[in-house]
Amino acid sequence: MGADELALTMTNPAVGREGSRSEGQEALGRAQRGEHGAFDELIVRHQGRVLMTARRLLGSREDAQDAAQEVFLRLYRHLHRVDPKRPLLPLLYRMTVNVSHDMRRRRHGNSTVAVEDLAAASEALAPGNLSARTEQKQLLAAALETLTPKERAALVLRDLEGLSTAEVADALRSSETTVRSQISSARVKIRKFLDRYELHRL
Amino acid sequence: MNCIDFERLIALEVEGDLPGRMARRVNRHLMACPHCQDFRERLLVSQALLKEMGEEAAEEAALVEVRRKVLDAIPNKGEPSGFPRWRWALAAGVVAVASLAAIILRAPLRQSPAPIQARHRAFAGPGPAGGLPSALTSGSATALGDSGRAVSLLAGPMGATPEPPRRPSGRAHSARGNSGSRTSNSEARRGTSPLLVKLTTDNPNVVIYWQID
Repeated sequence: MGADELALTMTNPAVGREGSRSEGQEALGRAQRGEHGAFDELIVRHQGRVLMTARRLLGSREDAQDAAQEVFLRLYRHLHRVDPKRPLLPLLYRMTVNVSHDMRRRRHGNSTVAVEDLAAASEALAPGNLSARTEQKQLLAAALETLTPKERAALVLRDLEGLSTAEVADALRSSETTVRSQISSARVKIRKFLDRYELHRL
Repeated sequence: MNCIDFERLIALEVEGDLPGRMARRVNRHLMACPHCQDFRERLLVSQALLKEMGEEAAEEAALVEVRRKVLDAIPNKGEPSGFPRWRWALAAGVVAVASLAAIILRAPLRQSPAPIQARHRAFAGPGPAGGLPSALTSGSATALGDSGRAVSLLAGPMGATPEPPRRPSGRAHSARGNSGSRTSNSEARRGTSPLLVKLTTDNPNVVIYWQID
C-alpha cells in the first residue's frame, strides 16, 4: 500500500473494509512477510467487527476501543504464529472475547450483574425521556449484562454478529452442543429480563 | 418435559438452531400449549431487537481512532512484523557457539604437527617453486626434523583448497626470502636429512607445515 493509498484509507476507513476472503488471506500473507501496509489492510478490514463485538461484550465505548486496540496489537505480536491458510476472523473474534473478558474482570471484578439489580436499575432509564429506539438499545445492553461471560460471548457472536453455531464454536474453541446450550440460556434470560422490565413499567 | 424445558428448546427453534427431530417435537408441543405459543411470540420480538442491535455499525471516528492508536503503537514500521527478537538472539547464539567450537577444534592441530603431516601426505610431490605460498605475507617458520618427504599444507579457516605443492627452487632459505618468514634450524637446513618447516602466521588459524629435502 502506497503512501497516497494509506492516506486515503486513513481519511476514509470504509475503503476496503469488506473484501473477499482470498484478499484477506493474501493481505495476511503479506503482513506475515513484513509488509507494514498489509497489516494496515487487515486493521481496516476487520476493525469494525472487532470494535462492535468488544462494545457489546463490554458495554462501554471507551473500553471497547481499548479492547480493539489490544486485539490488533496482540495480532501483530503473534502474527508469525497465525496459520495463513485459515480465515483470520474467527481468530480475531476469539481474541476479542478473551481481551474483553480480561478487561471486564480487571476493571469490574464481578463480570455479571444480578437480574434484580438491573431490573431496578432499568427503572432509572426514565422511558418517558427517551425515544423508543434508544430505550430499547439501552434495555438490551442492560439485558446483556445479566448474562454470564460465556453466554454473552455466544449470544453476541451468534445473534448480533450473525455467525453460525459451528462458527461460534470454532471462535470460542467450544463444542456446538455447549454453544447451543449457552445461546438457548442467553435468549431465555434476555426475554425474561425484558418481560420483567415491562412489568416494572406497568 | 414441562414448559420450562420447552422454553429452552423454543429459544433454539426460533432461529433454526434445533435439529429436525427436536424441532418437530417442539412444534407439536406449541400446537397444544398457549403459554409456550405466547413465549415464542415474545421471543421473536426480542430476537428481532437483538438483530437490529447487531446491524449497528461502529462510528467512523472510533474506527479512525483505533487504527491510529494501533499503527502508532507498532514498533519499527519498516521491520518485518511479528518476527520475534528472541529468534535473532537465538541465531546469533548459534553462530557464536559454532565459531567457538571451530576455534577449540583447531587449537590442538597447531600443537601437534606430526598427525597433520601424516594427514597431508596425500599431497606429497614437488615442493613450492617460488618459496612459500603467496598467501603467507608475514609470520615465522620453524624447522623441525622429520623423516617424511611430503610437503604439508594446512588450509586456512576460510576453507582454501590445498594445492599440490611444487618443488622448491632452492633450499629453506627461499622461505627466508618471503616477507616476514624465517627458519630457525640452520643445522637441519644444512644437512641431508629432510627438513620440516612449521610456518605460523598472524592468523592463529593458519599454520603451514613444509617439508624440504
